[in-house]
Amino acid sequence: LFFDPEGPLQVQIINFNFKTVQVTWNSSGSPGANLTFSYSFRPNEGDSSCPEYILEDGHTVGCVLQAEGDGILSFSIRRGTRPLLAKSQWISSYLKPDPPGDLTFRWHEEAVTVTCSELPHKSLLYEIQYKSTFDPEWQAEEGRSCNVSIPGLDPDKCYFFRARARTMEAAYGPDTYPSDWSEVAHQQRGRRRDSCQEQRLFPRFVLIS
Amino acid sequence: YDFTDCNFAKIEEEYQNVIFLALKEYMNGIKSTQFNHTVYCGDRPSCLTEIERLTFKSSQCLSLAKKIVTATNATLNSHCPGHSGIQINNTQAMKKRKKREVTTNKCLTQVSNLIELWRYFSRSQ
Repeated sequence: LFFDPEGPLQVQIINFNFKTVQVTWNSSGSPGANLTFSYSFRPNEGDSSCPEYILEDGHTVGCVLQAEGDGILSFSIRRGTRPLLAKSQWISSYLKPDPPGDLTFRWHEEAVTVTCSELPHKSLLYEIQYKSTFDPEWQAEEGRSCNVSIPGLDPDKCYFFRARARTMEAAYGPDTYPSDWSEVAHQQRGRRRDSCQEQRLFPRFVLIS
Repeated sequence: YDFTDCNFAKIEEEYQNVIFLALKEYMNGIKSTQFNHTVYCGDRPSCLTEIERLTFKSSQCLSLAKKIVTATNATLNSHCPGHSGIQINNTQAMKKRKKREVTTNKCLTQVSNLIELWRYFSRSQ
């Protein structure tokens, strides 16, 4: 939450892949009040009222509206006729991209190149996480396009892979959200698997003492 | 000046390597989202037009950091054919004024709008 954390109204904005924008508020100063939300994407046009309120215990706590491209959202939140907040913000500052999809794999000996379908937005970073059944933690590689090579793998092991997109600060600022993770894909011996069972494969080198 | 024929890729590169850092340093941890954004641009040439206006021609904030002015001036002059920005010695005068003026709220508002314009420039195709 941001905007004047100590103030009467704390507001959070999430721009879901430039499709919809969700503005939620937490009004410690007006508990239980039914606040109203109006907005515009063009300064010289009149405000529109919120098309779809989010309710909690019968009171308005947010609004979901259609994004109109990469632009400036001007909005105000009122209690009755009294404005509590009026703001103008680029919605790109709060972008949460969709997760990338369609992970594909090209194995070459002990390395794999993972690609996925890129999002239409520029200046994103694509993070690929992977682990085998022997690894407790995910490991990660990242690239400016969704074409990421991961060296040093053991093709005999079964691996989990997933991808997500993040924005670059220079192009979107520090207040954006990483995308959700893609679905997990499983790979073993260069082929797709439905899952990776928790099996204990014999390592290649067995120490006999 | 019409910024249509500028080398946008080069300008974007210099923005990410130099200007972005100067703008971030100026804001000193204050987020640009704490200010209202009122300056819009819809494509790269118009972004550079607004960036030039806010950087060199705005009367709202007289003490824009020299780093921002110098870096922007050099970038536009280098990558926009026929663009001749301000003479840097004007900046010297600005530097004297800066000693008298602290970073005012007006300057922070202006730089936050400048940041958003550069961001849009950087992420547009």
